[in-house]
Amino acid sequence: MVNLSNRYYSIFKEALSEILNSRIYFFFMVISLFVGIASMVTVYSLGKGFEIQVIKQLESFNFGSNAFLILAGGGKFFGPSTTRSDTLVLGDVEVLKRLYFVKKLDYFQRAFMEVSNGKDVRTTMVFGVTLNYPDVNNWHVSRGRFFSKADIDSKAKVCVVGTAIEDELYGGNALGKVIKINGIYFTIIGVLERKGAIGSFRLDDRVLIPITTANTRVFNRNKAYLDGVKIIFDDRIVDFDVIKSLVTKILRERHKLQEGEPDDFRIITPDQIVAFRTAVSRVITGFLLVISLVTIVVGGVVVVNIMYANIEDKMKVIAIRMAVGASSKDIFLHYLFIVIVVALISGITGILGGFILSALISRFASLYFYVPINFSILVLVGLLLVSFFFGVFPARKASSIPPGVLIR
Amino acid sequence: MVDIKEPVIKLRDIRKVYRIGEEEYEILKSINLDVYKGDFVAIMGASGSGKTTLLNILGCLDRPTSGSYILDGVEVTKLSERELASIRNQKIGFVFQEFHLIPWATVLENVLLPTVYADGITKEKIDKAIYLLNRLNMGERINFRPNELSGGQRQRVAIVRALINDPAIILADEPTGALDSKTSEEVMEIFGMLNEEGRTIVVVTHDMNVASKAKLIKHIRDGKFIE
Ligand SMILES: Nc1ncnc2c1ncn2[C@@H]1O[C@H](COP(=O)(O)OP(=O)(O)OP(=O)(O)O)[C@@H](O)[C@H]1O
Ligand SMILES: [Mg+2]
Repeated sequence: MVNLSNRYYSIFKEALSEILNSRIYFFFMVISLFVGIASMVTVYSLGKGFEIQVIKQLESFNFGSNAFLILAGGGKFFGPSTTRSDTLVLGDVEVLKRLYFVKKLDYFQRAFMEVSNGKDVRTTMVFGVTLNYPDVNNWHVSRGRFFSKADIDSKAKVCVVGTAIEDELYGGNALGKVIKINGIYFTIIGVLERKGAIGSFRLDDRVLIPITTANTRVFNRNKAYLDGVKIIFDDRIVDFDVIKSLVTKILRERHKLQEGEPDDFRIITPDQIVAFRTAVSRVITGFLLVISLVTIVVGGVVVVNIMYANIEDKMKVIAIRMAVGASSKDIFLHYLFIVIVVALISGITGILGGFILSALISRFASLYFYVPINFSILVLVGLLLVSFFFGVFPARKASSIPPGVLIR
Repeated sequence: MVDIKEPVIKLRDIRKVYRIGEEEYEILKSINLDVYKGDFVAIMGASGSGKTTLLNILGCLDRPTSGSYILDGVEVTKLSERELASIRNQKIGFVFQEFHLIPWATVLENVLLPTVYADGITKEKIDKAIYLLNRLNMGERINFRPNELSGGQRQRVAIVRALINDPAIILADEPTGALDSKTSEEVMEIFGMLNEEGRTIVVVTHDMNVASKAKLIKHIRDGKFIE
């Protein structure tokens, strides 16, 4: 009885020994696949890393799956409001606050305004906020203090600034200084923790003032409407879909919207922000993935051609193998093994190379480094399937060599 | 009926025609040959007379255009490519003029090549290879590569390779053609020794000294054996 597994194992070893003794062919085959695979893995890892970075950043100020934002004014996400935007009021907040799933909320008014240290003027986003701001946004002062209840009640002219304002207007030392906001002098009582940027959006470029002060002294609105409410809810007791329809129903009723009239508010979830912030990077990632896929296909064609050259070179050896008893099928397997080993080695080194490259770039660009395990497995399996398919051609050629003609 | 000993090789009316474009060349015309177990046959003939063509047919490396070839009781002209490969592997040991060793493989690996396509390389086969290499004084060189060996040593490696699967017949095509006369002598002594042990051997040569070691000499001319 023929011991098949030992036979295939021996043929496999015979193939390996041919690879090890044809290093130039082998090297160029591996290189031509390596490039495409390494770039594919790098691109995917960086794209995914950026996305995770955005999610983590949002989560870092309590904007994870248990939070949402209500913005005044209806319309498309992040576009200009297409309805009235002065209808969201304190009364709405009072009702929302009492909903069973709401854990905490912060409401705000905001506007782009000129601020000045007396000499230099710059424009920044000024927020009128409540006492809950630090908890709801997980964003606390790093120096000084946040507003007290007394500040809010007395409409005090105090403010808390982001580090961008501190660095650019006060040379890194803003505490206790005076800042002019829309012509009114405020005392800086605190500086927010540094949060960096999400893409090009600089989070630290902001000034916080008590909402009461904002409403009565700074924003000069003829009606006390709000720009938004951020709500933290208990995601263990209720689904977001339920919350969304309930909140929508309440606000529509309170705003006396008729059936068919559009919402005059927007409910914004972290997913939407992630999608918005990563839209461009996704397009770029997709484009680069397609390019690296083309590179891999080109690499595959190169491998097939090098393999043909190798077989041309090994004709005599193939004839020797057949003369001592190798069948066409054995020779076919032999060269299929070689192609698969090439695919496996270029796949593994390419994936590792991609990890290393992505780790370096992530470090350099201070991005989150994501290790795409599943994607890499997918790439490897795909590569093996494709090489199986492509390997058939040179292997078939090798196995069709007539030994009698070559060996005389 | 009388007890008739069946030959190991039985060729009847073997023809081989090569077609090049419109032209047909009948290299082998009507070859009849019986080789019995334990025979040592030398085939002689001028260059181009068809010796290698015949031997390649005997070795199942090539198929005759017509005729019957019974090897060890099997009509091989009717076998598939797969079956022929297995016949080459199990029943035939081939020794070539140019040795035809794998250049990057060691002596031991070269000798074991036929076992790869049998049951795969096994411990027994390795032991057997080392035993045979020792017998032909190659035991010291099992890890050498062909380019580190002399011509005579290479041919001894090729002979061990031909023996490793215990074939029914050993075929040698000008096995001394690339060797000097002293080394040729040694190689032919090896064939003589193998024949004395009972192995069946067919050697092609145009060297009378070489042929004289065989028990039977056959001459080929114009595609036929001269009676
Ligand atoms: N594949 C082929 N196609 C066409 N003609 C061939 C082929 N192989 C061999 N021949 C021809 O067959 C004839 C016999 O060749 P063969 O190699 O059998 O001679 P030989 O007796 O072995 O000669 P030598 O002693 O020189 O080795 C030659 O004329 C050769 O040209
Ligand atoms: Mg010849």
